[in-house]
Amino acid sequence: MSQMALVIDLNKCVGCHACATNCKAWNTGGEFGPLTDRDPYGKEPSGVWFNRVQTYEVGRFPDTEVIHFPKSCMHCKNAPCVKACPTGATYKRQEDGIVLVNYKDCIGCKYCSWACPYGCREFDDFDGVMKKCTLCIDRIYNEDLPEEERKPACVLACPTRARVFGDIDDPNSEVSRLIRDNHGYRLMPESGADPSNHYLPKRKVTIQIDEEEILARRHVFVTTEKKFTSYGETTSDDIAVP
Amino acid sequence: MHPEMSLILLTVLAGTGQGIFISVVMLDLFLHGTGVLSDRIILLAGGASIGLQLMGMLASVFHLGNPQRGWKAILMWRNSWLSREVISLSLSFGMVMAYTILFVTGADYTLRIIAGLVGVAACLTFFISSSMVYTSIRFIREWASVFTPLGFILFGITSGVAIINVILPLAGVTTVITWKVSILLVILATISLFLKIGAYRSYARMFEPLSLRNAIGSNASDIRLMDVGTSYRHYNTREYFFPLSTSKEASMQKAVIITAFAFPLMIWIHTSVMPDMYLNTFLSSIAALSMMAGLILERRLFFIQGNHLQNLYYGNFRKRYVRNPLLKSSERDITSS
Repeated sequence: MSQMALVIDLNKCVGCHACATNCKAWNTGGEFGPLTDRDPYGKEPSGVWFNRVQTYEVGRFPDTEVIHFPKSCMHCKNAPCVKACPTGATYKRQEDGIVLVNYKDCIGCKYCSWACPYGCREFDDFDGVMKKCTLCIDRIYNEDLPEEERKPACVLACPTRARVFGDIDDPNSEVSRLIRDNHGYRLMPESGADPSNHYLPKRKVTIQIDEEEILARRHVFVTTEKKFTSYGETTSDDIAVP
Repeated sequence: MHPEMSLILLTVLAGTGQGIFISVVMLDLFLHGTGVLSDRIILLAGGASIGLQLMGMLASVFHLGNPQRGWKAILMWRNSWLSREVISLSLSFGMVMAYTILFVTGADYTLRIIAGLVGVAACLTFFISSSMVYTSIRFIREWASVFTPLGFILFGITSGVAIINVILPLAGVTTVITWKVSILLVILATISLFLKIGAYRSYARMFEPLSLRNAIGSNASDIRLMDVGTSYRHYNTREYFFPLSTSKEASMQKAVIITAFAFPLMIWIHTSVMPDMYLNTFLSSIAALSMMAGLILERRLFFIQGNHLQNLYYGNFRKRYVRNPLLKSSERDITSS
């Protein structure tokens, strides 16, 4: 049994909202769309978004830090929304653990959104149904897309590669390794919902260098190694500096 | 939470209608053979019960985004309290109609009592299911207390007996039964009054030590919301939030206690000892109206006081301050950390 989920690196997120915008764009044109927008260019824009990014400030001046916090459906293993739904429109898939809403069965009673402790569900007042992140299920199994693009739209859009998609029940997957190596945590585990999305906490990496070490290595030439990712680009953390 | 008028009307009106039915069946059980219950009383009471439940059902349909599929709400009765609420409301509605028809057509007593008792069971199931819809959301602590199901049951039955207290003298019943019903009403209303005061006092003692530290999982001592991420209201800031200050909450609680319980209780104590039948009927109807209005206010305040956890992310989480005399005065106001 696999559980597909996202891992969001709070260390890398810059709050650009590219994930939210791309999610909105894909889901307006994809199989589940469109998402309602009211007065989008006016003074009172309001609409349905699957992914929202809040910004928090931590600490007291001058030792402050900013945390940008994207939040979408956690695809909980013990999803309270699935238990609350009276029609069975909300269900959790067995094969990949994605929680979905069947728009044909949903009566729009909003009880699932009350039961969700994370506030990830939104009511579409035009269609009269509840909508939420589908983990781009219409992308990840889509044979018409090239292999490397069969990921959620938010993951592909992130310019800092802060969002990673994978199977958290597979101990060898990239997401599982990221969670283990970087102390990935879940939100509000006391809610009992057992969310699948993990967040990697903010961290600073420091090393201590003594002056003798700097002097000792002053005459060594710096070499660089290029490592190619699947997109054929170099990323800054692939350059080795002794 | 934002108070939804359709849900308020559903729970209050359907609750009162079912309270009326429970009272009628109880009267039928205890007064069998005395001939006190006439067709007129049953038609008035049954009609009121059916009418109120029907109004409640129609109100709830308006709450739905896709009411044409509303029948599907019964499908997940194994998991969802909302499903069980819908099933028990339909069953009790059917039983009220069956009982009324069986009574006025003069059917066998056993048959109509069975229909009545099945209906009473359905009514109690409705009270429990509709209150568990709210109580089962464990993280809304104002809702997840024992006062919620007790309140739903007690207020439904009390308001039903209040309506019966008006119907009986209107239908011409001047025996000691009317007096006994008003004594029962005084007892029920007193229990309801103390229940509601106890509930409000327990809310005041609730200290939710939840902050943004729990919400985003950070250990920092000082976290502030800088940007909500949108430029205007949306579902997450509308549906779960109602602007309520502590003083406004206190005055709304006082209004509920007085309108729904204290004022009608005073009238019922008065009418249970005074012999004037016409004045009593007039005063009883004022008391019943006051209780209905008060219950609508009570249910609205119940929705408003529900503090949803996701409000933490948007800075809308209403914090309660604990009055601990052991804390220094500078520590008594707990800030967002």
